[in-house]
Amino acid sequence: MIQVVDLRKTYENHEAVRGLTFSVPPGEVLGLVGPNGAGKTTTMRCITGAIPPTAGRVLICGRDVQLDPVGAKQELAFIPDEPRLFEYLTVREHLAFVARLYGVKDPKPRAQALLEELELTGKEDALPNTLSRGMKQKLAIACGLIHEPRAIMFDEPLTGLDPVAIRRIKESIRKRAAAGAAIIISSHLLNLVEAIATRILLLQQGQKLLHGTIAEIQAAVPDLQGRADLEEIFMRATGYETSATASGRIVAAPETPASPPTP
Amino acid sequence: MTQSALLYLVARTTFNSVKHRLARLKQPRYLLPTVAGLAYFWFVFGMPGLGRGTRAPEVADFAPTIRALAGAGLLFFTVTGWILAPNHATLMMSEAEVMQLCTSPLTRAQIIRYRWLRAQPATLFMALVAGVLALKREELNAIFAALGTWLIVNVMFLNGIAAALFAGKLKSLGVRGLSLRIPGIMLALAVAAAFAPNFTPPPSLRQFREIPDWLSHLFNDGLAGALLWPLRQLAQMPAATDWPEFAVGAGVALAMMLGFDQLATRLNTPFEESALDLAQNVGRRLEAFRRGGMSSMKLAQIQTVKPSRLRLAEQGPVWRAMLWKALVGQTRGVSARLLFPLLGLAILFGVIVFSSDRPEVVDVMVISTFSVLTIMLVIAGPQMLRNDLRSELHRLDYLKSLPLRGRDILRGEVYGSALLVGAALVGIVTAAMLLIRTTEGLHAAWRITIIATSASFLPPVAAMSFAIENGAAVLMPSWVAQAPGSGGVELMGRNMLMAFLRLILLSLLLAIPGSAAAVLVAVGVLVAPSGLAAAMALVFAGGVAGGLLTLLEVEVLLRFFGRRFETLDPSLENM
Repeated sequence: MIQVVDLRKTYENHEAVRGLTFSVPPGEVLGLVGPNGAGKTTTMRCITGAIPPTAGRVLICGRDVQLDPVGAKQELAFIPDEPRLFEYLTVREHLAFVARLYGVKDPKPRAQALLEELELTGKEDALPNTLSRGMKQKLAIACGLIHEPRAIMFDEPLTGLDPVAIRRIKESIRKRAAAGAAIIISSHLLNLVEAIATRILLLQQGQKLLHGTIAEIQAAVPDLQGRADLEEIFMRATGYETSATASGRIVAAPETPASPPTP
Repeated sequence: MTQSALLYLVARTTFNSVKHRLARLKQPRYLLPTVAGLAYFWFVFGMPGLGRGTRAPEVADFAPTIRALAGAGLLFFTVTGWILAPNHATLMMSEAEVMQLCTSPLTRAQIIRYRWLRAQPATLFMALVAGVLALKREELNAIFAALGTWLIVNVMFLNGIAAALFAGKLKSLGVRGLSLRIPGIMLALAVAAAFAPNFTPPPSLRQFREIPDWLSHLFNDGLAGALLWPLRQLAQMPAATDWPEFAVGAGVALAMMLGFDQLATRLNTPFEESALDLAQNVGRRLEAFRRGGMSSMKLAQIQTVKPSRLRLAEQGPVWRAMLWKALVGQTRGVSARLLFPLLGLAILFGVIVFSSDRPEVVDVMVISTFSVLTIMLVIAGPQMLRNDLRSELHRLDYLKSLPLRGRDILRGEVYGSALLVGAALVGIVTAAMLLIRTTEGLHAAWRITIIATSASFLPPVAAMSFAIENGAAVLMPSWVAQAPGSGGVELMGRNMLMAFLRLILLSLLLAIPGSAAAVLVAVGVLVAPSGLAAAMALVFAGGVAGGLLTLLEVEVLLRFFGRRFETLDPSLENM
């Protein structure tokens, strides 16, 4: 479970995230979308603990990322858009190292299963600089999944992957969600988000513009009469295509965020 | 039209680069190192009254010899360029240049000339520096020095391009292996044949005054003299005293440049693929170097590795996993070839030590040399081995998403590097103890005690040095991470400032442990006459106490830097 409560992040004169509140329960895949500069990356970084929020709280499986960072991150996986691999560790060593950091017991069978699932077998002793962009991305995903996290953050997970790999990763994400993981996917590939996400969170200028299932956000833009795809909704809602409703503030779909436990 | 577009590209690139570098001087992290670097240059080369003066008569006597030697040096570079050409890619450009220019409607000759044009800002800067340096010597003309340097650099540059494109042409025709080197080898043999008739046994060092005559005969007479004539004219340009003298050299330079240009452009060598490979390879290595220095650059070139012999236990403290990661990186990043100079030094010392009949003099030499080596390694070690947190700054957001405390990350990174440098330091002390020959007062037991003492004290000192460096990366990440385009005066100034800062902090932090160790060692030396075993025990205890106190300080520092790491906001840092 990922809970974000009144999250704010300010840089000098710029407010990147303005009082964001949402939650991702187990089994849900939240698609985080928005134009460039909407605050997606800042939100992701605050959730992963990479940067401290100016105000608000982030809880991973009930643990506050600021108050109990190690405990919260223990349940979390962050797969960045650009694979952050250690150039001097082989594929196998990457998995062994990350498994050790998360205290995974008996990691070898799990690592082998991930290598097979992500079609990395045969590359166990390769260094990252000998792998293609797609292979590196798969390795980063394998590293993120080895400790079977209960909360997973994907930042543009399919960049550089071939169609077969894209299908694999999509299946893998659905499998993790079905197993009870709370997942956030940030991507500009709206058809991907639409295909995988169970709910959508559309940000603009650091604020929540739309939040809900595809059906709920379609309903929130009445002009579209419930027929539009996510791309159409995105264009209208963010004002890139004018419509009667896009000029004003769109009301987010109702939500009931779980109240966070007091620290 | 096309040439003017390429000229525009070079001019705008240079202008924007200079403008960008000047604009960023508003930030202290760029201004301070630049000022420090410029101050260093000013102190060494530019300070009025420093080094200015007329040439000593003895040196003036050697001027023809120096010119002949310079000409021979240029000949050596020219010929070497042709022998080594098959090793090099044909045309070095950036990936963007290759992708843009090679897909544009440009001829290969135009791209080759663009490459020459793009080198001009750098060659003009070199010429400017030569001109400024010439201002300090009365017998030199700054204009001739600048123009001469510019022409020489261009001749050598075009020679290199022509040689590489010639080798590339042979490759495109299917020539492979040693056959590619035949033109270079033939050229070298022709030069050797020209010099052979002039060769006579050189005079001994005692007949020092005869050396110029011997060199003059070797370089100036017969066919060798004729062969060297154009290069001698080139070499004398920067030191020319009048326009006619300069004009001869300039004429030769222009003729050579034209010749190499015609050869390079008329060959029509298909250089595109090789240029792209080189651009990608160089780009990757430069980026790796920017992040982690030489060791990271080496890693960027590795294609295959064996699984590491260092084993990672599946369970245990997380900082040990970080240590394992750092050690694997260090061991893969350090080339075994780096050990060759050390091995050579050890062999040289071994020969001197065991062939000398004055052991006390040799011992002083060994002790002073190895002491300097030890101090240099402690101070410069972190500058040479950057494969720690400093090379991880670009993945700070990922590191911070891991379930680790900041101190655990820093522990692994610092101790990983310190173990390697600490081992090298103990190796140096061990080598010194093996090489020292004077047995009086330093028998085997003392030598072992000194090695054991250094083993307990020097690795913690290395850890302290790396802790300071990694602490700087946490406190000033955007300063420690080298910005794209960093180099030259700015980079040198930054390294100087960091070394100075490290030296100051190291001295302050080692004051307490060093004093404690020194007291115990001094007591040990004083009681030596009354009881050797007690003295050695005290010396060893001094080393252990100093080492433990240093480690304690390192741990305090790591806790402090670790807390700062946890609150570090990578999005505020322009890395």
